[in-house]
Amino acid sequence: MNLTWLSSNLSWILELTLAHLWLTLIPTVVGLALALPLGWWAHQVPRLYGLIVGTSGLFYTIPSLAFFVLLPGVIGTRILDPINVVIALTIYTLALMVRVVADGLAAVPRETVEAAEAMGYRAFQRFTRVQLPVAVPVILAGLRVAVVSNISIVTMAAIIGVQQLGSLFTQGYSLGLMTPILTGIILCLLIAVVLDLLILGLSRTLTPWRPAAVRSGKGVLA
Amino acid sequence: MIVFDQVSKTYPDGTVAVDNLSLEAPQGEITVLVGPSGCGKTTSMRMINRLIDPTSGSITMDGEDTSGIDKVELRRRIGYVIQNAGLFPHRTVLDNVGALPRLLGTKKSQARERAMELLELVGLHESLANRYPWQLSGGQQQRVGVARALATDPPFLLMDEPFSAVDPIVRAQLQQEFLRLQERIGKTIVLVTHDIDEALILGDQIAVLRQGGHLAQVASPEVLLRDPADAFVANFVGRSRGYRSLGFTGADEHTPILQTASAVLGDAAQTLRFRPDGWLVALDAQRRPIGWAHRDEVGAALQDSAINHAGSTASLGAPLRDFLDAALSSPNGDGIVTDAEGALLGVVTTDDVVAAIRRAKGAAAAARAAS
Ligand SMILES: Nc1ncnc2c1ncn2[C@@H]1O[C@H](COP(=O)(O)OP(=O)(O)OP(=O)(O)O)[C@@H](O)[C@H]1O
Ligand SMILES: [Mg+2]
Repeated sequence: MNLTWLSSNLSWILELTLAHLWLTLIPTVVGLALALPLGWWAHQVPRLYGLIVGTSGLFYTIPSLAFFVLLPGVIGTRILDPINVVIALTIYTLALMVRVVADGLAAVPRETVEAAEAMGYRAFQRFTRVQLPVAVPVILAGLRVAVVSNISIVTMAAIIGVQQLGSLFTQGYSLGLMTPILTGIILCLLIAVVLDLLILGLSRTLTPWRPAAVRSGKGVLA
Repeated sequence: MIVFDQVSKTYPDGTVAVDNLSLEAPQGEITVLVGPSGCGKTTSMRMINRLIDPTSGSITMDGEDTSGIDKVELRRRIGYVIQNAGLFPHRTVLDNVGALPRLLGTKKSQARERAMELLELVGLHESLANRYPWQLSGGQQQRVGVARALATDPPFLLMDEPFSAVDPIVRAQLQQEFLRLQERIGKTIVLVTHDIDEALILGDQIAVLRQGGHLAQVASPEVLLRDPADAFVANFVGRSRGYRSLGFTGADEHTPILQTASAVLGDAAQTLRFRPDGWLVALDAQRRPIGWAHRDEVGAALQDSAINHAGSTASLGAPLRDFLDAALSSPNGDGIVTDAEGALLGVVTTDDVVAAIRRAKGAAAAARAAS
């Protein structure tokens, strides 16, 4: 570890870490928000399930670098604008989460949903008050995967010059230094662990109703 | 009152589930839809709250055509109980019961208070109030389901196989509780079951459906047993319908209750007085019959080991079926009769029970001829 490099770049590293957090979190939240109605739709209309889940899943196969480079041409943003990264990652999250949401809703016991319908819950009330709360464990388990994958994809944005922890890799490469690269890896790992634990905690808080054995067991460790 | 008027349902794949059904579910009574699997019971019931829309015909509730009522508004007027209860797994018992009032804007504290009352009404201890559904037994879940359906005090109740998922003992218990509950609440109820015994126990009126949703017969349990409309109904009602139909008439006042020899458990042998045939009725300290004891079996004192427990007993106001069973199960042909508290009154002979059954049949036939 090159401590001189570390101490003289401390504030920059902090900046990169914060940028990395934002670039990860905003797409995750927005992607999830968009996946909820789409996933609901796919669940609600079985004929469309294949189309919706299949099409959105297709986006996941587009290489991230291609995304970063092509997006400005498609939507007219500047090439260096971090918004390109945000949009690309939002699409990745969406691609992953549409299936998760649809499958999470499908795992809600049929008679529970049917009872709500027969009691006079409107479709939206059924979704927000019954289906979604019961699907929380499945959806958040999927979100943990999305977050961790987003953290690593964000680093690719260094190649198009958007600053975040990935910039430490390019920096280390051009200076011929191991320290920035190691620092970048460790910080990425740290963020991943912290966010993962936060979502796990959120899931536990939102589902006090689950049997303790299921809550603490391997069942939720995706 | 719920009225089906020439209601039919054909599913998109061409399956005719209900065919031209006309039926009335009278105010404040339990109407049971019964029939073999796939005969269209569930479909018929779900057309009432429009979970399924009829292909043709109309259903009216208290004279109002349901097709003109907003689906959601309609459903909120009708309580709904299904097999396995369909409870909300993420809500406590209390919040399951209070879910609909909360949805309709009742304050949380008020909804909980009302939910507490309902739990008591369906016989659930308040210590269960904060449990989640997975922490309850099947029978308890079913009770919560009933309480939830009653939360907004709807005038109508639909129940689809509400007691099918529990074991026979719990089922019998839930059925009796449900009948007592209905005495207090007097809802207009449509209940679906495939179990004819359940239908006979619960129904004020029973509609027997046959495959393809044809109505085979609508009648009271008594008439169904005594006078099935055709071979299908007779077959569906099943064997021993003659015996079961005795469950609806009591023994008349001409049925002699005879004195009998009896003794209390523990009495010394020399104090015992037996009947000429050698038997006496053994009683517990409250003078409730335990069974018959024969002279040849009794040792120094009347012990439990000497008692024949085979005989059932009939209490005085019980249906003829209980009298007949008491007589037939007795080791000496005489059935033990008790008072309402279960204390020994006397015995009734098999011949006298059969004579009483004859008189009851004659009276029923005369009543039918007169009407
Ligand atoms: N959604 C559907 N699409 C096509 N056919 C259906 C549908 N639902 C039910 N059916 C058919 O309609 C008929 C009546 O079904 P229904 O569920 O009303 O029977 P049921 O009397 O309640 O039977 P069970 O006692 O088995 O519950 C059956 O032949 C069934 O296969
Ligand atoms: Mg059914």
